[in-house]
Amino acid sequence: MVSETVAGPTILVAENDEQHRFVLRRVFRAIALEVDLRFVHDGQALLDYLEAAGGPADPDRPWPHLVLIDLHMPRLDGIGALEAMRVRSRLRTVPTIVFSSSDQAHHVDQAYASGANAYLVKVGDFNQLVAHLRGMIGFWLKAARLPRRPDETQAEPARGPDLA
Amino acid sequence: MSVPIVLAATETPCDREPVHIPGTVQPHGVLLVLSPGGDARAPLIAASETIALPPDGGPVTLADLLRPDAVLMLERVLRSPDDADSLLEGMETQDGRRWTALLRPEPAATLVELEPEQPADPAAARRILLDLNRAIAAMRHKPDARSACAVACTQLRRISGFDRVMAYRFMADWSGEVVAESLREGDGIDRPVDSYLGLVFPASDIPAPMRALYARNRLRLIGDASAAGAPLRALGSDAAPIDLTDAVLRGVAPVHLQYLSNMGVRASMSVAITVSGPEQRAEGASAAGAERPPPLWGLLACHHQSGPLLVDHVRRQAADTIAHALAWRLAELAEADAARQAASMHTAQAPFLDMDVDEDGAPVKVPDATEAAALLAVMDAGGLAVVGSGLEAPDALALRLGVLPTEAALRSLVGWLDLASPGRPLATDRLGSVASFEGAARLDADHASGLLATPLAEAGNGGTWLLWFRPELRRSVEWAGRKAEPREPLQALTPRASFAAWHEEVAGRSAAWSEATLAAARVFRDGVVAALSARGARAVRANALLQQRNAEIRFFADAATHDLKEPLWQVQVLCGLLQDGLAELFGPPEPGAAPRSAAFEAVAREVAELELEAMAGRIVVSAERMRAMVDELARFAVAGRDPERLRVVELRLLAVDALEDLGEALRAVPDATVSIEGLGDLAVACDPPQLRRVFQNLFSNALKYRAVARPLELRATAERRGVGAGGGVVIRVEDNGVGFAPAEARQMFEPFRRFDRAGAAGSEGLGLGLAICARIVDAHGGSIEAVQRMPGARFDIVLPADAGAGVGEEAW
Repeated sequence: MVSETVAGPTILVAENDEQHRFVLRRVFRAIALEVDLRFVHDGQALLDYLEAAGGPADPDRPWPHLVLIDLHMPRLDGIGALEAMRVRSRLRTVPTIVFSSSDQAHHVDQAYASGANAYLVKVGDFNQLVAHLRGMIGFWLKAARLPRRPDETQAEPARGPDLA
Repeated sequence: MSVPIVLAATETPCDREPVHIPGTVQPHGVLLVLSPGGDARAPLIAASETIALPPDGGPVTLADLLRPDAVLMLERVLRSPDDADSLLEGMETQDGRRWTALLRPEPAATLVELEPEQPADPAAARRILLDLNRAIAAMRHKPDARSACAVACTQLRRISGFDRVMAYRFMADWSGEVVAESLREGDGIDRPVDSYLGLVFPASDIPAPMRALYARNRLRLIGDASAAGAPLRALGSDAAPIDLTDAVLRGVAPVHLQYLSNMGVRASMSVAITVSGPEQRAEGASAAGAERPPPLWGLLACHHQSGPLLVDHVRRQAADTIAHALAWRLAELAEADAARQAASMHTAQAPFLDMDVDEDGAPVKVPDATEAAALLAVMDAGGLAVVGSGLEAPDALALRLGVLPTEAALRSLVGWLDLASPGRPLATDRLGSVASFEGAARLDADHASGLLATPLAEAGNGGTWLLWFRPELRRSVEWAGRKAEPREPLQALTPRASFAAWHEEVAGRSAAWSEATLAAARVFRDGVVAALSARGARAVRANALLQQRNAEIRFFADAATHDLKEPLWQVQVLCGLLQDGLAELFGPPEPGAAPRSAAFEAVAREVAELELEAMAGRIVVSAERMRAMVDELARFAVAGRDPERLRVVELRLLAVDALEDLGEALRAVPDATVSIEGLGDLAVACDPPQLRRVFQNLFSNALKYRAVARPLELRATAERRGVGAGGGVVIRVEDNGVGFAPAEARQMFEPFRRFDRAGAAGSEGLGLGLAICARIVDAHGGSIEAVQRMPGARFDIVLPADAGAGVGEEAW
């Protein structure tokens, strides 16, 4: 797990290829987006991270505002990870975006069917890519209201005796 | 599967005549009825009035009627009935007459039948045996039913002394035809004997109750048709009618005596010929169903016109033996016939059922007209239709051959069959007069007088029917006398007076379906079922293969696009970043930006240059990776065996070259031990660059999946296995790396399968290495498999001795 020192919203990326990580880090830096980009190796590592993360003051495993996953991953692939997340109460609400080089319709369908919040294609045109990522950050991290972290919902006081 | 014959049913008054309890006996004998259990001293239940009975009506015992020694003989036999001979000679009644007694212990009563003693003839028994022997021997060599019957008639006439002995065969509607006969030759003294050969008698001549009796008591003798029956008098309080089914002396219905007298017959004897079909023999008697036609094939019918004729017990037994022997021969002949026809059916149906079909299930070759004619000829049918009424795919084998009714008529016929004979075969030679089939009028008799319908599935409730049609056969029937007009029920029974042959043109009928033809129809049905299920299985297999192929192609597309697009995308993005950076570095300053100090400018430029350099380096890496993948893909595409390059080469040389190819990658592995000495000097015929690729990929795999924790040991060995054409070479490449999970043993040879290995040194590439190996080995006619080692993996390659003659290029 590689942690950037830059403060800001946390984006958790499931990606094992170092080259890829480098490219993503540089793209985010180039478009001057103040995000805390964190990487896990694959789908399984993603689940492990999310199960362990959560405390507001956990500098090693901050709760992600957004998860980016690829469809192709070793061990547990993107669809498998999505489906596993959507059946776990803690992870069900995490906004998760599939970020894949595939633009095939059945992949898109399958991703949404498995619970993806959005599907972004890794477009080759640099300007277009930058526009897409800016849009993604702008919408998900600025415009959209996001669900609370698990620790926030757990801290909520009980609403009184259950009379049912 | 028995075939019920459906006919327009007509019941005649005779069909209800209670022939088994006539209340009379034939007057030439005496019948004494003892209470059940057969106490010889107890009072009799009944006795025939052919013996003087005390007039007072008091109890009568055997002792009142028989001489004491006769009573003693009976008593002895009745006491131990099991080991008793039921035939007692030399019985004498009180009135001095001498008799032969037959004892029949039955549940309701014990019958004692007395028949007049015949003059002793010591030679008779020997003659009868010789005649029997001759009859059986001759029948065994007769090739058909008619000639076997003729032998039986001749020999039975010799033994019994009747004027006329006929073999009378029942047809499907229980009318009967005389198929063979033997006649007393005219001697100028007696009236000549008329021939009945070929005559057809209506079913009413031998009514249903009589036919039923033949199933139990196979022989019926009427000693004198001119003598009226003598009453059977009840002697006790119980006046219930006595069942005389098994009695030889059973009285004859007056209507039958009149019938015989009209024929000019004074005495008659009939013996049942019961021939069970193959199914009946197989199913056994226990499974007898009410609908199964009794296996009464016909009768050996004997007529005497010159006077009364009493046939004694021994001769009656001989007659029964002849009937049995004839039945055996008939069954044998029928079976042979059925087997012959079944064999012909097998041959004739082959072009229709063993058709190769293409992927869409359409036949590759459609049978021609000659083959169609041959199939119909086996069944002696004019047309064949395979028609589905249900939802099961009727088009799977929608045959239409020969001359057939219209499609609409076929459909209505099948609808009727589903109701009238669900799941059961049906045969008729007169479809037009089957009462319950309303669509009969729509059938053209020329095409469809006879129908043999076999359901494809015996389950019934609407399915596919195999329909064989026979055209009308206009023929003339020689009736023995005018056929009885339909009579009003309850009208007095009146026998036919005339037996002169009477011609009738029979219309609306086909030739009858023989047992052998029914058997052939079953063969065809079984063939259709087998062909359909084979076709179904083929379709399922083809479909599964297609789906597997689709899944493979999809997997290939996914993997190839992802793996190739990924580095391409990286290159594109890196180039974009580079462009951006260069523009910032060398482009004009943004308007309104504060002028920067020279020192800051220099530092920024230095940082930027370093950054650009790093990105350029990354681009090279990504591009290299792409190049490697494209190379691998190209190798995968050409993996195989080029017949042009085949030659015999030493395995060790190929392995040496492969190690050379690895070069730097191998030298970079510390402390690696590589041994290829085990390959010895074995040589195989192969495409050398391809086999070298196999070694290279396996070695490279060992490097990639080596365990970081221990020095790599890599070893290649080979040995010859077997000799000659079945022999081959086994090559083993083994390492001590991270190995693989058992579930991956097969998957790892599929293209683009990459497995994450904890503790492995690295995993680059498309995941085509082992797929390439598998393809090459396959093209050489060999096989490759992965074997787990502890620790590590071993790959076993078996190459046939004639690997040069490899197999097809099974590929994408």
